[in-house]
Amino acid sequence: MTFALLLRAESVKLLSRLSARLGLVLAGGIGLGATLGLFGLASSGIVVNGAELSQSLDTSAPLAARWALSLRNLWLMQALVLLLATQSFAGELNARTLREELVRPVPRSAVLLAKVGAVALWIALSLLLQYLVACGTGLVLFGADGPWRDVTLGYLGTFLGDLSFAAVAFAAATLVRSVPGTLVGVLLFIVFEKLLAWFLYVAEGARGMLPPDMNQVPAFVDWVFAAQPMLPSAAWGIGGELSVGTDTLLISWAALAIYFVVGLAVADRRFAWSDIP
Amino acid sequence: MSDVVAMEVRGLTRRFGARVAVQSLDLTVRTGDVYGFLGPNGAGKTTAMRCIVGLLRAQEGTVKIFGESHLTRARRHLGAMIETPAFHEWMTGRDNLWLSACYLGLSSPSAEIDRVLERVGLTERARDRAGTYSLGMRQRLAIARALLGQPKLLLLDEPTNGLDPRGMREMRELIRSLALHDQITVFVSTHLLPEVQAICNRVGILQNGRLQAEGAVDQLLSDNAAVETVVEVGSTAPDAVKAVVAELDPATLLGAGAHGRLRVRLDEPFTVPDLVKALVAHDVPLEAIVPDKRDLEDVFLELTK
Repeated sequence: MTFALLLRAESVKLLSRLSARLGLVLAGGIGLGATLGLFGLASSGIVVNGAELSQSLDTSAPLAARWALSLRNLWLMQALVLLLATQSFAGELNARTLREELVRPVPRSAVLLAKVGAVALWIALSLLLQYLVACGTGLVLFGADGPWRDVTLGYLGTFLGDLSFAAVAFAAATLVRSVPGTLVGVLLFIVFEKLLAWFLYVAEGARGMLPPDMNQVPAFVDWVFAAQPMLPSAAWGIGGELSVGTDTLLISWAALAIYFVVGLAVADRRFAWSDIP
Repeated sequence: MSDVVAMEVRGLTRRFGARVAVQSLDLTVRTGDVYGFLGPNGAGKTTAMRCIVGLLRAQEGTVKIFGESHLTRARRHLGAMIETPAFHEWMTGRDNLWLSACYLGLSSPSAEIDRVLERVGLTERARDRAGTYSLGMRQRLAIARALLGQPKLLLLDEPTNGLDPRGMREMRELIRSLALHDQITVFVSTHLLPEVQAICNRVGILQNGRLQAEGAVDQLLSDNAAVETVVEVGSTAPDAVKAVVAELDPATLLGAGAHGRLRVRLDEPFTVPDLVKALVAHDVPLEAIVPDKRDLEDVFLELTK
């Protein structure tokens, strides 16, 4: 029994799903749409503050890919990652096809890893497709100059961010064991986490406006503010930061790794002890 | 049959909260057996089978398959169809088998898939989507899936569920053929007792999670045989039969039997030849004397009442 065979089976199965195929079409569409959008704006003659937009708008193939990445990271493709991870586990559990895999001589952890691997492959394919379409169209429309390194690193960072998110989605699916429950649970978690990030951002800004004599707070408040880059949305959005050349923080990378490892560990333990209907 | 034990279950117990679904279950299935696992609805058959294949965790007990107690390794010898089979409906029957073959570690499974498809008679429809299959075809595809990798032991949970009479007969013949020609030990749970009597050599009867009886079908029938003999007498003159039986002390008329015959109980030492002699002596025209044997259904109903 080789893990490669399991991974192949899970990948073929995942890529045969309608949602996965539509996701790949969408990824290509985002690459094309973002590039054509950039081209349209640059050649539209729109005037902003007395100057033509085309004068202030940088255009190049990698910048088109960056636009596409920004569009993708509006939780459009992450929602699909969530859906695919949920379908792979909770969906198969409910459809009882998971049962058929588990009567085979394969450890449950290998089954889980193969499913995560298939989702990772889909994330990589969708990013590659989007990158190639945006860069290819951008090369034709704008030429090759531009921040290739930053944008390419941004795509790699997005891959790792999405993978970490997928691991958390698998953990949720093994805990909740239903497709709607997992989707709603993770989406609620994201909304809550965004609100928390927004609250911390506002509170930190407000604190900066306070006079020094009123700015005496316990040490843990400083730690909470300092931990903002560790929040899931900050860690999972690391690719966007990389693509615009921003220096990323080590704690964001550490958080990314922690979410991935903890997500997989929870999913693995939960799956190992689950009864399969 | 041989003395080699294909599957040995000892002390298997599974509870769901306070409810005990399977209690201290002991089973022994020998190589070559076609073992019928019987029990009324809710007796715990499916729970026991799920524990055996590792889908449910048993709280107590051990399962050994061909001497192997490590469940993941033991499943190498095992093909299973548990309850209603499930497939990836959007994929073809063949692709569903290919996925299972990958899970078995078969890197070039094409020939093996062809073999099992042919074995269950699904070659023609193999490239159709599983979602378009009839219930009977789905059952056959599930058997094909269970046969991948040439398992030595086949676990089938209600394989005739939902099938029409023709489908049932086909399934029964397939199971019999798998045991006879493919030398596969079969462990089958079903409600259909005549089917079990027709194809199984050994049975276990489960009631409320406990094994009530286990053994060879013939042994079980003889162990639970009735003391008295019951026959059905067919005659063109049933009133004459009634009159003769009424005169005989050790014979009692029980009422109407099958096909217009009359059921008569004979108490020892009165035998069937004695009855025939008495009827002939009274010139009663006889058409048939049929022994009214207890079958597996009678034994099952008695053990599970």
